[in-house]
This record gives sequence, C-alpha cells and structure tokens, in this order.
Amino acid sequence: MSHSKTDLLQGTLDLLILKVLALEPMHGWGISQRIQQISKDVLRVNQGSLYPALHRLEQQAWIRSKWGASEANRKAKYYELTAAGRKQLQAEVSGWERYAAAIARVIETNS
Amino acid sequence: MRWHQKLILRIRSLFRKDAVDSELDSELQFHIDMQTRENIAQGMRAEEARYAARRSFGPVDQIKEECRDQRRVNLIETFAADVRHGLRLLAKNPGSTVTAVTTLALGIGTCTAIFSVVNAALLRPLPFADPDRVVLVWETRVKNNANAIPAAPGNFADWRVQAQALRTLAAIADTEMNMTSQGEPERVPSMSRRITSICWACGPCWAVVFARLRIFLARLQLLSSPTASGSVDLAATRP
Repeated sequence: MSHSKTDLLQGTLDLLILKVLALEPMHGWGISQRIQQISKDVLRVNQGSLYPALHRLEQQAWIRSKWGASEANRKAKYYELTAAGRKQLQAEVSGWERYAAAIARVIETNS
Repeated sequence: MRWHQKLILRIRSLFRKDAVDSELDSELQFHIDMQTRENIAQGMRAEEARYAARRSFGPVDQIKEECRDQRRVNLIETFAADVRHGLRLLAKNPGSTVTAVTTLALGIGTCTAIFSVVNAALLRPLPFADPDRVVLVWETRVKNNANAIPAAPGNFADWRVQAQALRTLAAIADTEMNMTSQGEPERVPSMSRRITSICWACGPCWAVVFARLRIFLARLQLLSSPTASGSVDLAATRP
C-alpha cells in the first residue's frame, strides 16, 4: 500500500458516522467499511472508538437503532439518523468546514 | 421527541440490563464475524481468520465497558453497588452500627422534640379561639412611672367582677416556698393557681401560661417583646 492510513482526529468520528448514516441505515461493521471505502482507505475507524461513539450518539437521540437482517442473512443492529441527528450533522459539517478553512489559511500563509 | 427517545433508552438500560448487554454482545460479535468472513475471503484458514478478526477488533471487554459508560446508567449502578457495600460493612461491625444508629436516632429525636415544643409555644398561634384577642393585664403605678407591676390579689378579684372590656380573666401566682426536712432548707420556686378559681384545664389559665412562656423566652432574647413580667400576671379575653 502506497498511502498511509491516518488515525481520526478527535471529534471527527461523530461527523463521519452521521454522514454515513445520512446515506442509508447501516450497522457498525458497514459504517467502518464505508468510511474506509469513501476515504479511499485513508481513514481507518478503530472499533474501540466506533461502538462507544454509536452508543453515545444513540443516547443523544441523534441516531436510533433497530435489529434487521443483514446481507449475510444474520441479525444485525442497524443505526439510522433521526431528525435531530440530521440537524446535528449540518451543525458538525459547517463546524468542520470552518475549522478546515481556518487551518488551511494558516498553512498557506507565505512568510 | 428527543427527550422521549432518551428517556426510553435510559429506562431500558436500567431495567432491561440483561437484554441490553446481550444485544451489545451480539452487536460486537456480528462485527467480528463479518471481519472473519472477509479474512476467509482473502484466503485465510477459518481458525486463523477468527483469531485475526479478534485481534484486529481489540479488547472486547474494554469496548463493552466504554459502550456501557455511554449509557450513563453506570452512575446509578455504581451508586447501588456503593450502597450494598456500605450495608455489608455495617452488618460486619454491629457494635459501631448500633452506636451510629443510636446516636442518629437520639439526635433526630431530640431535635424533633425540641422543635415540637418551640413550634407549639412560639411559632404557631396560641391554641385558643381568637388568640389575637388575648391580652395581658398589669398594674401601672403612675407616680413612680412604673409599668407592668403585678396585681394585688384583691385588685384582680375586683377586675374580674367589674371589668367590662374583658370577657374573662385569669391569674397565676409565682410563689416561692421553703422546702426543708433534715438537710439544708431550700427555696423552691413554684407556680400556684390559688388566686384564680378557674381550673387548669380551662383556656384563660393556659393563656397566662403561654403568655408567660413567651415573655420568659423574650427575656432570653429568643423573641423580641418589650413586655416585662411580674409575679402575678393576668390574662384576659376581650369580648
């Protein structure tokens, strides 16, 4: 593999989870695969933070879970975005954009 | 809607703990199984694939614990465990338990008893009909400019018969008596009801007692009252 895998920045995992779930309801395994895929293997989600994050987001009522049949014909716990979660996603996206733009401005300063 | 969902989750985590825990187990197991399948698809042997999946997943028990922490009910469970621990310790040292419980019981009991008296005697209105119409009657000596002088028994008897403004009148006398037998004689304060013929069980006498008690406490500066008291006080009810 030519490119390096990057550990997630603190606080970006919630944003990524909400974004992935905005596409379609998904189980934990699917979420971690999807993030890896979309980021072209640059971002790697650690299970040790993924599942606590899912449970935290559920407690915040930004996502809710229900059991459904997975592609492997097994019962899996699917998460989906709630209305409050959709709002939270917008807030996190604009927060991230502001943050990234600010970092970019600092980096691109000449002399 | 959001608080509603949160509440349901909290209650479920608290009272359906086993169900929630077993769901967490199967959720994480699903992840490991999927990783195993993928490892097999990439050419690992079944056994090897399972081990690799477990290894890449990380410390399962620690992750479970962190998921439980997110549910926020650990606080309550920890508190319950603390209570149980405390009770066990108390059961182990019956001596100190009895001492502590007795101390608390006596303390609480004493406070309650004292408050009951203070409440009845000072804070609540006097236990009569129209307590605001009970008055204390004193003699005044104009010449000496002396107020609140105890009344002479004869005057009291006249007032009882003649006073038009008062419905009834009662008096109490503080007397001191000598008590002696074989040892040193002693002066003993007493409160007698010789002067009034009204019995103890009736209202006016109690009015005097309560009024005196309040004056006594006022002297201790527990209550602010300008009144002073003499040795014969009269309580009367205005019509």
